[in-house]
Amino acid sequence: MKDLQPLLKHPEIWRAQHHPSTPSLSTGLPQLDQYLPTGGWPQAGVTEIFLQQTGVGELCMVLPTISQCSQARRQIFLVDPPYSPYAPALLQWGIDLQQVFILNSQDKRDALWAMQQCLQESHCVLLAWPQNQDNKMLRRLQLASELHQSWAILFYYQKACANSYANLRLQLDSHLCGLRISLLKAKGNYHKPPLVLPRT
Amino acid sequence: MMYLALYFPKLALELLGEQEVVLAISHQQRIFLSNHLAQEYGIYPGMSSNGAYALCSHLVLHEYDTISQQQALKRIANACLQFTSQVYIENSGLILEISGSLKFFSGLKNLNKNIQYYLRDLGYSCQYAVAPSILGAWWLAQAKPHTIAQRANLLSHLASLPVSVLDLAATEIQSLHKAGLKTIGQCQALPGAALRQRYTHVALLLEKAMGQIQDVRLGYQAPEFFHAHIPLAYSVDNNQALLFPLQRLVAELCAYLAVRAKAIQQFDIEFFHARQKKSRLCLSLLQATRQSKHLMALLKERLDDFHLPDGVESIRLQAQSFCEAGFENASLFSEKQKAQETTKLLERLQARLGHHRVQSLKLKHDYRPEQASVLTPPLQQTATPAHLPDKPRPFWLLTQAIPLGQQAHWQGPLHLLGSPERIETGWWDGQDVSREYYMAQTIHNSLVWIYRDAKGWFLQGFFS
Repeated sequence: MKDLQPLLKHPEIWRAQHHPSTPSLSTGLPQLDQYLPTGGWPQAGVTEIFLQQTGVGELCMVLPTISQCSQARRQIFLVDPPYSPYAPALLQWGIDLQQVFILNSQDKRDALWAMQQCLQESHCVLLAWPQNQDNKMLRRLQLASELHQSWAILFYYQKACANSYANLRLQLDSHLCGLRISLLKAKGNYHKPPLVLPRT
Repeated sequence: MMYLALYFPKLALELLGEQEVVLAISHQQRIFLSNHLAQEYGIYPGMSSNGAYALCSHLVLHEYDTISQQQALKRIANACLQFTSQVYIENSGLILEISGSLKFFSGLKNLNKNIQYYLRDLGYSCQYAVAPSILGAWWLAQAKPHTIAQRANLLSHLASLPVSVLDLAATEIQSLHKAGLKTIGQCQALPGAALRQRYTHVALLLEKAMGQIQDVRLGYQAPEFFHAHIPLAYSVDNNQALLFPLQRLVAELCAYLAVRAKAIQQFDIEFFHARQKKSRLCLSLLQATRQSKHLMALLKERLDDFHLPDGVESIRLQAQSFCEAGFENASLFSEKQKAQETTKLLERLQARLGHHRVQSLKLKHDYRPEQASVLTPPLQQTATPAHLPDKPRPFWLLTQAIPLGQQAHWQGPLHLLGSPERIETGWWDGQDVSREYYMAQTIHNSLVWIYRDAKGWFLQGFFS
């Protein structure tokens, strides 16, 4: 145990009983706030969301927070969105269009470069749809977002790979009553049963 | 009056940039200047060009180019206008009237240090001298650099200079030498009347140098446009290697802008090739700037994927339209500073990804759903929305609606939710629509936006 002490002080190692006091933003959905170990969406870092297909309600989860962020004049960057975002819908969600920027990259290299550049803008929100999971890329994004207190949300239309540098990972599945959210990884937490969020 | 003269002995060489090749400048078949690598081969000024080639076969020899040298002097003069408003151009140097700037720059020593550092950053080395007359300062800078002469000791400083600094014709120098006059001091020692009678021109120059008569000249004025065309030492075919000469051009451009209190939003850089037509890189910004660091960051991104058909022999930078510069002082309000940061970020993104790949979203007042949202270039002020539809709209809209046929069927039967929304509009421009919109649930529990018109069912968007 004595030998273990210096190791436990390592910043990369956390213990399950210590809830990290990462600042978070309310999701706008009380049930989800309660489910997420940080009590809301993390202010900084990378959040990975895995889903089978678009339209299951993946954006409904994050849009209330994003709307708040845009009202607080934080920039919202959309990198390689699967379809074209629709201005009236964004306004209905209360998002300030002046803070929204849409980037379309030509290849993976450009996309990573653009994401890093965006995350260096302090306090921004980045929504990206990368083609595949790349741990090296994630590491760089995680560092950049923590350093500049910006929040990156990555959406994947595939199954989650075993490990990742992201500090929050969620799996979404459609459910009869709405949306089933399973927590794959969160700093300061271990296994939790999935949450079923009724569709509004 | 106090004049600071700057003499650039190696200007012709420095104009070609810092080079890792054996390089020399020739003038009338003789070596005029050589760089340190050439000197290692024993190539020194004064030797014949053929002799130099014999010593080093891979010597890069450039002909002395008066025009580009004069242009370079003008660009340096532009930059020097930030230190004083009166700058005079001499044959291969500049003279700055500094008595008015001493207080602002807290003393001669400080001012001089500022100027020297500035020129060194641009990549020019110079010799300087300070004297109370234009010619006095200019001669001292050439023959006795780093002298600071006062009115009282000007004569003693000038006396030892050779007559060759007077920039006379060769025959005039010869005639002075024949008369045994080798230095300025010897000329000065002659009785004034006798000197005036025999060497009128020399006497006039000496009187001007001593400040006995006024030396009236027209000061340099910054031109309306910025134009620079610089040759490169050798053909450059590596894009990143072009950044070094560009760095200097951009720094000179920014100095010019600072002097004229302007900022720039768009300029052209042209690369000239030996065997191909010139290629052109046009840089346009979202917001006018005069920060060379920012411009260089953008140029670096642009050059990364810029195609050059051939090696570059020379570069031309032209800027013709300027904007009035706002105050670029550090702002007290972080809001404004943040907006500037965002602009810079968007410009960087545009430079790398391309202008059409960085966009903003704008609402258009049109009842036809596909026309209500448009993509625009970023940072164009959007009007505050006056009216939004009551019914929910999908986050994603397909650019082209997917026809579903006569049945509401997509990945399985669709379950219609709620009452329809009727949209019937657009009769005035021939693209009239008459549709009934529904929100529908797929068998996978995702929500889509579909409509029915005379042709059948269509899928137009996804609720996410």
